[in-house]
Amino acid sequence: MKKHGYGIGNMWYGVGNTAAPNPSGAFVDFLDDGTVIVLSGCADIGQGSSTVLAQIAAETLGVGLENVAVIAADTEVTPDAGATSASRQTYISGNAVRFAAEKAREQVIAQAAERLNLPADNVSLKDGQIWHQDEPTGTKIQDVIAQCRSKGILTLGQGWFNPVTTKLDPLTGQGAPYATYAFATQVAEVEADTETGVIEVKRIVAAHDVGRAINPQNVEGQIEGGCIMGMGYALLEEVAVNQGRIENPALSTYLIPTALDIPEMFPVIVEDEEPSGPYGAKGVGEPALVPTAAAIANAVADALGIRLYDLPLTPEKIVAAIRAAAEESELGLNG
Amino acid sequence: MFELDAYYQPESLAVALELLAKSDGKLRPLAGGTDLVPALAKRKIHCPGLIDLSAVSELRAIIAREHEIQIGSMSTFAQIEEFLVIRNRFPLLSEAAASVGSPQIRNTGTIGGNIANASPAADMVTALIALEAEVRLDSSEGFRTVPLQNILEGAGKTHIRPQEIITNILIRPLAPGSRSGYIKLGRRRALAIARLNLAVILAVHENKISLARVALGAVGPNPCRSSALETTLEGQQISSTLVDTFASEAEKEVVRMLGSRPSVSYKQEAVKGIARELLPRLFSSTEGVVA
Repeated sequence: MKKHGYGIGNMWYGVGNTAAPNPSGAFVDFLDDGTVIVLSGCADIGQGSSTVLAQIAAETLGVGLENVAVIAADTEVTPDAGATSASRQTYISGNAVRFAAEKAREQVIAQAAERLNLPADNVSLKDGQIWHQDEPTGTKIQDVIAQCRSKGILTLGQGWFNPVTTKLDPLTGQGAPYATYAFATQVAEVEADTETGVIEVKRIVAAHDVGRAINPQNVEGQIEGGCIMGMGYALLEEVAVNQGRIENPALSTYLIPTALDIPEMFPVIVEDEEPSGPYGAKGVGEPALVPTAAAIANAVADALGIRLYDLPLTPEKIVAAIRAAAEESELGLNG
Repeated sequence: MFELDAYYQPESLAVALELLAKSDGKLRPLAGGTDLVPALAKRKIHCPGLIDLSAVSELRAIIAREHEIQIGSMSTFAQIEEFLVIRNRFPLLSEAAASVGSPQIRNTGTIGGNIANASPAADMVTALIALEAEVRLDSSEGFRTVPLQNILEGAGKTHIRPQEIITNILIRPLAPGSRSGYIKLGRRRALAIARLNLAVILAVHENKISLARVALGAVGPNPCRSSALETTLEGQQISSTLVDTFASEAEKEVVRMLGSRPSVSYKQEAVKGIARELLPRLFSSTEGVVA
């Protein structure tokens, strides 16, 4: 028999390394043809950080994304950005790039204010132009940079950011281990087959507070990927150990979901801007998978009326739990 | 990886058979290699040399005749899945082919290799056993045609002689109006080894089952027919009660077949679930009906 169930999982999760300094640095060079070069040690391992860092530099310097070249994770030339881990790169390296870009921007604005005879506070950079308050002045950014060069001024900035944390009190365990936190709620819908024990995840709704989505499509991709990884954790991933030896040390035997196992997913981006983040952004990498297994396990409990505490929820465990519950209720009736 | 003393890629069956006859058991035929090559690489199998059959085009033909369909042993799962005559006349066979591994494996693995590998969980074999398929084995001395179930001798074992190559699989057509289907239970929806598989063929006249063939896989050394389950269906009216009866008989049959194996407690329950999925599909719809 197939039984339907719904479950919810909630989480909050610290962004950055726990109770430890984890700074990131960046250099930004604004060239006289309007090109921006960003140097950051941030390794893009597929999560899209180079795109996000380019967007932050482009936004700060008022140029199009196509004008930004990111040189990332090359230890020969890039400053340390720490690890691509702890859901930290958008928040921490994003800030480093923003600060570096702001330094380069200040040089351009100072020159533009002098040239146009405007107070620097009212000058900004947007769409490749110098703006005065809400109006474009018609002066191109690259002409101002050229003017800087003619005077021997480089439009170059460096920046770094380290989230404010404290060590944890060794006696109480208390402190402020993270500068900011991500929050998420996911709801899973499952169909449980009481005979085959197969749990089919039908749908997942995943709402994530990311501060501000610098790249919404990228955030959705991270959320969907995280849900799939969390689903593997809930239903498939199992290390079989026999006398200290792992018996399934290959992807042919240690199973994760395939494209055919993926449920319908509905990512919901919640934007509650983080004051200390670049343009309000936080992180989403790990949070995307944290609540998924809990939501699925709760949905299974809802479907079957039986709560399991041991992941993964394999068909064998489901069938055994249903059988045990049936035997128990029979004993209860007889006794 | 692994080293071989000899590797041949003949372009005709005659040359392949001659090489095999002369090799004194030292050469093994290589079909798609999706099972054999990983086994060689992991040193689970040792063999001094291979005769790669991939260039023997005469083994790739699928020929539909009125009284039988002849499937060349080197036909891939993908070819079988997509071959229109098979889809129309033996839907369970294309369903079984579609359930194998991944697109990459289905483009490489072959029906002959699936038989020769003799896995207890072989997807195609369960369907072919239900179809009462025959296997043609050729050697340089001649050929013989044997019912598939007679050449399976246990997990990973067959009665194929060292100098023989599976050349064709022969299937007689089902009576018009027959319905057939295949279902597989794996740990996930692709790239999974069958925990159980079930193939059912029914001939139904006026809602009454006149003939039933049922084969089960991954419940013993090789997939096999279940006369008990066939008897449960034959002569009965199609109904939801019959689905329940079949499911509980399938449970008994799995217990009988698996004996004291540890997987029995799960599989005796699981077989009911796959039976409840497959049988109503065959009972109710026109899906899987032979044209």
